[in-house]
Amino acid sequence: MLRRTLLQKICGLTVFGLLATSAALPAQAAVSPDAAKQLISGMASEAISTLAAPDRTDSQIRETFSGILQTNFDFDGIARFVLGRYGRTATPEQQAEYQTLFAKYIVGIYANRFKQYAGETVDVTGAKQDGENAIVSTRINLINNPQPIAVDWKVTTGADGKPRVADVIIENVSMSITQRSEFASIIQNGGGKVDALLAQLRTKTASR
Amino acid sequence: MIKSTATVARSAKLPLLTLLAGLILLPGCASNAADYNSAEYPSEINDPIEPVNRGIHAVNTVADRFVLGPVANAYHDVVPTPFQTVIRNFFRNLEMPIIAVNKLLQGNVDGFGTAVGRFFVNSIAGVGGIADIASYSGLNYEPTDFGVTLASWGADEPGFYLVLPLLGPSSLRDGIGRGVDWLADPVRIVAYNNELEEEMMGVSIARYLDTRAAYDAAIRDTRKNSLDDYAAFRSLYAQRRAADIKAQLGE
Repeated sequence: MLRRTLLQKICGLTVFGLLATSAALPAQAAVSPDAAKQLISGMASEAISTLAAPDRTDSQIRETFSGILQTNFDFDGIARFVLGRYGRTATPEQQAEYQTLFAKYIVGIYANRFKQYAGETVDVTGAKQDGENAIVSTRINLINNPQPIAVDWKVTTGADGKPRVADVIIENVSMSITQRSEFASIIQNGGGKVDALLAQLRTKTASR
Repeated sequence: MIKSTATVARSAKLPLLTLLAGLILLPGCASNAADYNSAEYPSEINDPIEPVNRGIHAVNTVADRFVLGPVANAYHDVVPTPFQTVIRNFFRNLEMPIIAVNKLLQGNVDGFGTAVGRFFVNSIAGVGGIADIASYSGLNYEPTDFGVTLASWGADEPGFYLVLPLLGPSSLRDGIGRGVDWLADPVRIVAYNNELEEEMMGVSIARYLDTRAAYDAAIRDTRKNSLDDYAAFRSLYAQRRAADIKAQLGE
């Protein structure tokens, strides 16, 4: 009897301790698969409704993509990841310029791809936990090709505590890893200087 | 109304993939600096002969831009789709013997059976392979190659990156695999023994054009949007190949 009470107390204390600890931790909670799924479906319908509008203009598409990127993507985290270890050697000025140029670069590319939208649809096929993140699986159904494209979305917790897309994996190819590899190559071939990348980004974004 | 995008629709999956991109996308990850070098992300690709590879890539790019790409697209656009399907069925059927050998070497008895079954069904009922009858009975086209066989024997690292003339991205392991597949291919050996070298060359060209056309949108998109397309193709290839081998060997 006594032992049981003691055990109960210990258990109670432990549970209390755990609760107290978790409450004290920063709110970097794991993203639930459901929340991640919601983010992706919401984003897909938003994108499609703009793109399917018959009178859409190029600048509307650009704005839409830019907005989607800002509200649904962990853009700062993505930009940092893509710059990789070179981020540490960059000065604050270089960092700031990089962030601006990278955003322009990405918006330019994707706005351009959006323009080709021809009525493709998105099916969310599942979501699973992946450590602190969630992976949402989708299928993009093409118009004239019976074979859909498999796209996985890695959703993380953004700086504001909300679910945010951290990577897009198309047919097993991670866009962030590809971009990171490309930027690393440019910097390495430019003598390890971040300026080499900035120069290329400037040229590329200026020509759009 | 909505602009039609023949380019998008016509291509196979990878290409579209770029479009999908249309659906948003992009890179990213880790919200904190500690993750920059985490093991979760593959370290940079081993490329000790980068200057040589870049040279070959430059030549390939010129050849592709002015000859191979346009010819592949012409093949895709001009040849009626049913004929393309017949041609694809035909060369895929001829791949079956070497695929069967590789499946066996990988210890994949089911895969071996499927490849052998396909070869007989399609060669006979499919009139020399021009119709893919076998797929209706679940004997699906599941390609493999000697690079995968090497991986199954323990060469799970691809070795250094290699750009092959005209054929493009590869690796030490997969380049060796291609060579072995060519040398050991029973169909090629029989054909060469019967003075059918030119016919075999025709089959190879058809396969090349078919594959090239399928990747057209992805290739053009990568060239257009990359700051360093050599590095982009290198990364795309490494990731795709690793995922493909993982899927085949069921790890």
